[in-house]
Amino acid sequence: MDGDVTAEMEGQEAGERTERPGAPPPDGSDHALAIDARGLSKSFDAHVVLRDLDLRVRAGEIFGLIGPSGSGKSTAIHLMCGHLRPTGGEVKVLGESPTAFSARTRRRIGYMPQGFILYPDLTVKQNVGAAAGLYELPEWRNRGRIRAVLDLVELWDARGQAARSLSGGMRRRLALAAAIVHDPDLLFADEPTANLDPILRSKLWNHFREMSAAGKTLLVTTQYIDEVESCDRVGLTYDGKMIAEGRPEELRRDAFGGDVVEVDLERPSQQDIDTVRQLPWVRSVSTAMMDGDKREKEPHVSLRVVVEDARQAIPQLLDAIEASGAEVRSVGQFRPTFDEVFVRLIERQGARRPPLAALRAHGEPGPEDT
Amino acid sequence: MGALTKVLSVTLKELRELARRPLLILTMILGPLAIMVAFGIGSDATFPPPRVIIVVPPGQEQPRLLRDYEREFQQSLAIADYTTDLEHARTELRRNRVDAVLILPPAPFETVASGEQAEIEVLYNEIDPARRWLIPDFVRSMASDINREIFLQGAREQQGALDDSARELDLALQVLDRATSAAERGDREEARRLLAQTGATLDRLDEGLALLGAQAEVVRAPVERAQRRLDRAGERLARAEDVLATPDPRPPSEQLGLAQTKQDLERLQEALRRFSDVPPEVAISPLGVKPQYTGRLRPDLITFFAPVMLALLVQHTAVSLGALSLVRERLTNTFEMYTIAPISAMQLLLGKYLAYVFFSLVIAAAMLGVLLAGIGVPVFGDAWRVALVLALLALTSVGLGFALSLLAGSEQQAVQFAMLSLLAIVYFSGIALPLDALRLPALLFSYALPATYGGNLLQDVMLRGLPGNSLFLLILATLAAGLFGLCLALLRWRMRAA
Repeated sequence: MDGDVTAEMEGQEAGERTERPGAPPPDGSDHALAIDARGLSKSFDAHVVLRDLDLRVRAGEIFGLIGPSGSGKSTAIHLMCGHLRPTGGEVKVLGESPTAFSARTRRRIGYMPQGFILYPDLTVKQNVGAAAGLYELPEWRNRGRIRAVLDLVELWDARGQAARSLSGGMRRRLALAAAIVHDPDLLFADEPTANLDPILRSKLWNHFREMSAAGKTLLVTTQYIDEVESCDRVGLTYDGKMIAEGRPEELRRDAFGGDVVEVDLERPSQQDIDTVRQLPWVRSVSTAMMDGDKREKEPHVSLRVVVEDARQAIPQLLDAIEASGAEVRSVGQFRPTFDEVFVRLIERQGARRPPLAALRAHGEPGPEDT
Repeated sequence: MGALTKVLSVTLKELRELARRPLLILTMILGPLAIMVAFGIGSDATFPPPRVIIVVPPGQEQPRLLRDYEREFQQSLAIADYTTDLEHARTELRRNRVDAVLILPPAPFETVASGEQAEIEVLYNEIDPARRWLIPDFVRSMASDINREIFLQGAREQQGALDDSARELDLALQVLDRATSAAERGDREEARRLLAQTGATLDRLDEGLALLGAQAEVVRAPVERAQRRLDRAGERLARAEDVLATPDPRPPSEQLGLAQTKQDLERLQEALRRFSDVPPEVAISPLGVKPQYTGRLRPDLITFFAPVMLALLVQHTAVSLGALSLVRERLTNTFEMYTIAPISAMQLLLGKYLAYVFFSLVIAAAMLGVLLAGIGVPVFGDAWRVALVLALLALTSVGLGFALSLLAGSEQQAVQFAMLSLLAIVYFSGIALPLDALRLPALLFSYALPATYGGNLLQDVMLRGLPGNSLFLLILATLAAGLFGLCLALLRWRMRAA
């Protein structure tokens, strides 16, 4: 049993992003804010698309804005890039209002829009050259830089290919190359992995992590929940509102009210379960796989026990259960998927449960965001 | 340096995009060019004579009018049929098998002889406004030819009559001389007899002239003058006869005034001779026209319109490409990239202007080469002036294209705008109709089109060897500057945060 527990304990860290050198501390107190939005709102006529967004992104971190399609992620990015003017609140990006960016600040920003925006008739290399030119990097004097960025996104071999003939994944990588060719300090990437297969998504996130490791700030929107774990911090948007914000693990804890410990008990009685529930540091207990048929065929019960700190609680929990006479098959920290986390967070806001298709864990194509 | 880099980067990007769409460019340029050349080759700018059925009066299978003036009928009309059946002719007209029905008068010569105009009735139902006026004009032209022929014949006959009159007058003068001699000899009786004979000759002459004047309008005035002289001469002769009847000691020449009478008659004779010496063609058509073409070149239809077509194609190419360029970027997210990148609206617009003006000039140079080397259109004026006009035209047209592009709500709308501008050039820049045939509102619209100035200036410089209207050059430059300002304002408006 100890072995099982150890294995589960190790597993809980496996999917979480490890600390990188240069990554911001959790509180971020000693880092300047790259983005500071307060009460940011946007309406189109009577239709409110974004309401009271408070968002602080520290320099050097990857901030993920996640939410279903139409939840206001892209609108937030457009407001931060200066494409849209807020109808309420204010936002500072690199210390300036986006609608009045100085040329110096513009040079520090990269923007990777949601759709493919470059020039379909031009080749890959010409596209990146055209983007470089807009940032005062003449193509004819920055061939090395263009090659480096195309190498980074693995498009150098396709440099002579017309953009219109590229696959979806290659187009996203080309868009990324064009967005970072001038080595921006801050990159806005609006759904960079939309419609990409998992391998390409993974490659793009690798690029983002490399940029972050080099001290760049990234604000990335996504509909893919599993990408949350690649972010330093995450904001969950729903129906135009930011309903949760924090590090991925904080959101998990926030959603369930603490750490979740899963205990598998062999033929537990109701008294055994009540014993666990009555422990003073146990916040709540729920059972899993408890339908009648299953109980007969597999006579054991999974308890999900919410506690303040799983590492401290597991030994005490084992002692208490053994003292009550119940038999423990396994115990370990349960890491709910972010699907479950977000559904809980959304439900906690009093919103109706989002349709499963609205939040996606995998790469199925979805409708474009607003 | 940074600004220049951004401008040139945009220019390079635009030129590369154009270069990578050769088929679109070829279609855009060669399409209108081929259509216009085909039109120029296939049209001689003349209208064929109308197809007619001639309705002849019943019982006159070959009336005299047709017989005598067949050549005039054949020259002006395409005669499909002759018939005496008016209803059949009307049916053919209604079915559009002929353009007109001509109904000949039953007795035209007799009608004229009775002092009335004989009329050919023309029935037509042409619905094409451009051709409708042509049918009566063709028939009028034919009638005019016939009238001229009739006049000519009449003039010849009348000149013969005048010759007879002059001979009578010769005879009268001779008799008058003899009467004068008889009077001077004192042979009063002989003188009276000869004067009476002279008077009788003059009376016959008067009657002849009166008949001539009545028959021919064209000689009526000189004949009336001659008759007045004859009347004066006749009065003097009558007085002379009275004098001769009364004894008088003075010399007969003084008493009779015969010298004065002779002088009058000699003047009359001179006038008659002068008139009969005039060729009949001159007599019926005293004022002729002698046109002389003094231009350096007598251009055919293609050559004449070649500079206008060049202007049209430069405007069309520049407007179409300009219209498509910005709208596509506006409606895709490319514009978002411009709004976040450190490039100003001015730099973006300058970069695009440079690319499209340069490209338009390359196209213009290629087309000019085709016109000069392929069709043989000359350039009599200054080649630099041609370049200046083309540059201003390209600048203005690109501006117009960008303005349309910034106003259009979709790519389709931009294409529609570009097509409308092409139609506007065709109808209002002087190709379909000369500018002075347009009413004021249409004329004002014409002068809002760059191609109107461009075509006019290029025709002046290339075909007339003139420097071109300086005011037009100034207006074109002002239009170019105004459109640049408008585009800049529109682009800033489009690039601002929503």
